[in-house]
Amino acid sequence: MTDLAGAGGAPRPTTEQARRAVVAAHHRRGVRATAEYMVGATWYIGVWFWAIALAVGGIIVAAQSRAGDVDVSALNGPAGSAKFFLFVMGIVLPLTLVVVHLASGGTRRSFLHGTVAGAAVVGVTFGLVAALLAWAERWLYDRLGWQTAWPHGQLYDDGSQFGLVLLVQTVFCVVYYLSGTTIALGYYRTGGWLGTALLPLALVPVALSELVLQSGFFGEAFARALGLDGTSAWLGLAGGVVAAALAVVLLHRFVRDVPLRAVD
Amino acid sequence: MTARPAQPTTAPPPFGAELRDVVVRYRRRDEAPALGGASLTVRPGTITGLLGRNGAGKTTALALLAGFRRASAGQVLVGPAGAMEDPFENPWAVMHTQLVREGGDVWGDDRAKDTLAHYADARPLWDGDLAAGLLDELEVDLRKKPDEMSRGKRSALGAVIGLASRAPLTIFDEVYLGMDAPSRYAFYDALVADYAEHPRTIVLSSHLIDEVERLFEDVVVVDRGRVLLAEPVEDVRARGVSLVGPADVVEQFVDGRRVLSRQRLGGTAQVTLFGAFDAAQRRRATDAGLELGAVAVQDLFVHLTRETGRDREAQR
Repeated sequence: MTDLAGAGGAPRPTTEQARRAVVAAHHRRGVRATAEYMVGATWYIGVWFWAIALAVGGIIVAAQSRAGDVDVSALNGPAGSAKFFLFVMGIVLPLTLVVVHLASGGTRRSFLHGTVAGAAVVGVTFGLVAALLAWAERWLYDRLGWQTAWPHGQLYDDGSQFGLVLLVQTVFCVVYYLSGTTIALGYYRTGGWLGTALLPLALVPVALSELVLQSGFFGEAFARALGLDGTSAWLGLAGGVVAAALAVVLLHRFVRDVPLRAVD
Repeated sequence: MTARPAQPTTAPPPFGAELRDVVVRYRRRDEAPALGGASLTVRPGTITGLLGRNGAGKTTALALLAGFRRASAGQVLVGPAGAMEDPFENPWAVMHTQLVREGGDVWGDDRAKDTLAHYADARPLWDGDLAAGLLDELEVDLRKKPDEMSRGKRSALGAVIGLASRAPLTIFDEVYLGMDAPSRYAFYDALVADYAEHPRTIVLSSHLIDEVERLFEDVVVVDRGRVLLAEPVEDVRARGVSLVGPADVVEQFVDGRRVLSRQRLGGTAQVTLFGAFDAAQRRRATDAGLELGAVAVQDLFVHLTRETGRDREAQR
């Protein structure tokens, strides 16, 4: 619906159209600010996480080469633990952000969209670093003639499968990050007892991603017990995407009408 | 990095606000809700004082207006006259409503300038020059983290955010706690000056009634989850009368009326009485050599909230 401006006849936005445009721009600003905060704050500390992961990997390689026999991947463990780091960041960050976001005129909806966008960016970038490190390690080991076996069954065999490592680690990072956020907001809105009671629900996407992506002690054993250990990589990844979608749905349920607590 | 979406430059008209039979229970089995059927109207384009004792429901009422939480029952509306809407998850309403709570809703662990940059980006009518001038006047160091600031400086940061947001509905909830007297008066002066230049609706919740009552155009008194009165400040002041003059003459006019306060210095007395004087009574008092004045809002507030407390005790 448009008004026509008098003599010129050029369409002029109605008040309703103008309002819609202003609201849409405000929503985009809120989403962007939330995503930037999540990504910026995560990487601010994440740089140290990766520096420590590299240092630990270097120590493992040095210790093994001194012993004369390098037969364990040095970076699989540290790089694969990025998801746990992001789980913690997912718990810590939203509590500081959600209050300022709503107090500055944002909505829960723009907070949710920004958080999901931020989780996607963080997931992809952390997955990329993990895949690059795994690939670089494989390349180095091959050049030095070292042979290693991945300690636990996973969808990929080693770091040479760059694309698959990237996808698996990205999905893990997104799911863990969003589940951490869900847990934090669960405690924020329901308090200690109910927040704890809701923990298993918030961890369902994590459990599902571990199951379908067959990672570590838990995921691999669980998949074998359910007869899913022979699942193809693509089916596993599809299950991982379902886990991420479930994490978004759960976060939405916790965020959509969360009240801001009174100031202590 | 792409450019941020442009901020609109025209301000909507001042917002009004209404609560209609609003109930808020923090727990389902709460016997005494934070608000129990509260109704009030904040007129657009006024400075309204929201007064109440601790736990009266002021903060809850203000949180509802800013969309910080939902009412358990009843209706909450904000917006320009004739176009009021529920603010909860309503982007148009909340982007034009700024509630500043005690402590300021800031990032405590980051430098204050980061919080200010966030508000500047989020608030469509933000005035950076006003913010810079006020920060300078209130001596707030933006390089400091709010968690490292004194309570007064942190409050001042919140006050700056509230004023510089230029929101059509700007709400200050005990925002000046911890601020020293010069800072508080600088804040009041800045508030009045900016309000005159950029008319909007301002709601002030405060325990420092004597200090802020000169700012009020309307007053709302909340007590135990209910609204005791909501009316223009002149009507509030006319609910009582202050008499000054020779003690014996003053006492003649007390005559069974409820005394809100009484002071005596030598042979001169001042009493504040509850209940309006009609024209004949005023003439008689003036003829008797007494000076008549309006009742202080604080005296009336103390009287009203004490009275409801006594009523409830009696009902028990």
